[in-house]
Amino acid sequence: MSTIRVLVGTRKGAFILNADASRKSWEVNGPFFGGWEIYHVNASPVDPSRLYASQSNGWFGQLVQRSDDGGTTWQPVGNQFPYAGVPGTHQWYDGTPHPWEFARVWHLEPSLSDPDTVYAGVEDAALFRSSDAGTTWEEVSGLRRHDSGSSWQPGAGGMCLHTIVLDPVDPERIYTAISAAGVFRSDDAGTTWKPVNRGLSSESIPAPEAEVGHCVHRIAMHPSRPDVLFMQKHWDVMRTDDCGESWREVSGDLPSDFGFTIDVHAHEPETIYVVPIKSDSEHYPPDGRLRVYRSRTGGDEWEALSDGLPQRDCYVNVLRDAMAVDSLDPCGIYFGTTGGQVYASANAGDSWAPIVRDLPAVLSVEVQTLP
Amino acid sequence: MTEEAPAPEPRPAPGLPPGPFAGPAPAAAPRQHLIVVRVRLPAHLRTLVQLEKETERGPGHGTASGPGHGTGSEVTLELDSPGTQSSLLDALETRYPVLIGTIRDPRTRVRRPFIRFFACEEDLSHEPPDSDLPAPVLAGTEPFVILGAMAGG
Repeated sequence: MSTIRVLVGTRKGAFILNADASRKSWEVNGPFFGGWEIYHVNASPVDPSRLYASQSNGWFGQLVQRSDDGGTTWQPVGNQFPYAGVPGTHQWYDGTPHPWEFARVWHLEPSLSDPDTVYAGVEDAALFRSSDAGTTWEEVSGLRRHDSGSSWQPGAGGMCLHTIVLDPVDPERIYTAISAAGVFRSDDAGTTWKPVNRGLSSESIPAPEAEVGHCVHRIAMHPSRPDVLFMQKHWDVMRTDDCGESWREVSGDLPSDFGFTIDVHAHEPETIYVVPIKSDSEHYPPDGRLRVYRSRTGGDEWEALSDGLPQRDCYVNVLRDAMAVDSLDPCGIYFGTTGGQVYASANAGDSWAPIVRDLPAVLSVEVQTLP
Repeated sequence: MTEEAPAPEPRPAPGLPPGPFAGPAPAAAPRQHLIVVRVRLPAHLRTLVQLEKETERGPGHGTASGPGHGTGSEVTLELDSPGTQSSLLDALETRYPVLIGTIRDPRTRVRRPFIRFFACEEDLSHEPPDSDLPAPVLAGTEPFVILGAMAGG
């Protein structure tokens, strides 16, 4: 019988939540790395026992932890993320040149084929790769050296590379998303990159349809449809059917098209989920009601999913990496909030229940479906 | 998303054992002999190097167990004289590679902004890295204290 393992990163440690396939009764383990910010915990799809965690804080900097036994024990691995060559500058908030400076690892994306290979998306925005299970890291420097690199500017959360999507069909194809630069695609395993932001429009930049400069919050792909990507942008929910060559808005009838997270149903590639947030100046749900919105049509038409979620006085946020799905049938959907709740739905979002209510603010949620 | 940690004015750590600050080791001190120093680590770094937790002892009650070892809140390190901040931190990072990058920038070797160095009731955070350690630290009677700057409300 399958089991579910939910990997939760929070402001003050990591937690691992376990359940059987019924997803009704949960065991909560942690905190791991108590007191540290855990931006992301993620698992190798090749070796489910291999986990990676990004551990950092303002005092002591960045660490990366690795577990080879599903999170029972951990060991610190390499924490040096040297930019290749002379790093140069990007634009600072005031438009002046600012040296590239490593701040932290936002996202860890293990390879789809090799448990020892893992990518790291970092702030200031760059992509790193380790081929020795996190022991050493080397910049995939073609991204940052794109002609537009010196013009990239940070968003309010810093200039972070927060999303890495690996194409399951074409191993040479990688997507990354950077706040606030946009989406970039490589078709040669990271050697060269091109911005793929045509169709995005951002009123908060001088040229709303510029090639770069968009604050993309997250992109998601269904593995059976690698040409189709869904995006939650700062404002607007978008989709592309041609690998990012062109995007169109699918916000439709959402109560707000601002938000951070977006994900795709495990078995229905046109079923997608977002959590609308009221605005970029009010990072909480509209009307104090926490609702996940589901579209079964790949966007445009949305339904509110609120059964089991707080429908009054709720002012939490759901951050970009804080939603994930399992691969059971029916599909399980999970998300964490800045209020410390982790909610689960064992029926594709029709109803929800909290797994745990009082964790530190949740930064990330990943799910493993274990045989 | 970052929780900014304000950097308050550094003050001597509470609970430090009293002891006179005797200033830098004299220039005429014998060179290139081994000295043993005590280093007190903050809680997060003790966890990283897997030192025994000091929760029931409280600060100031760690013990040194011998060259290159550590228990409680302190580790002991062997240095070549004259001992400096840099040589102490080099020895600490050699013994515990997991600490590389947690105290100093690994490339520039500059102290991280929210790290403080105290000894003998003095703030040594802004001393040049190659300055000699205070004599009581070199004598092993006072620890070199590494701690995170206070933050919070």
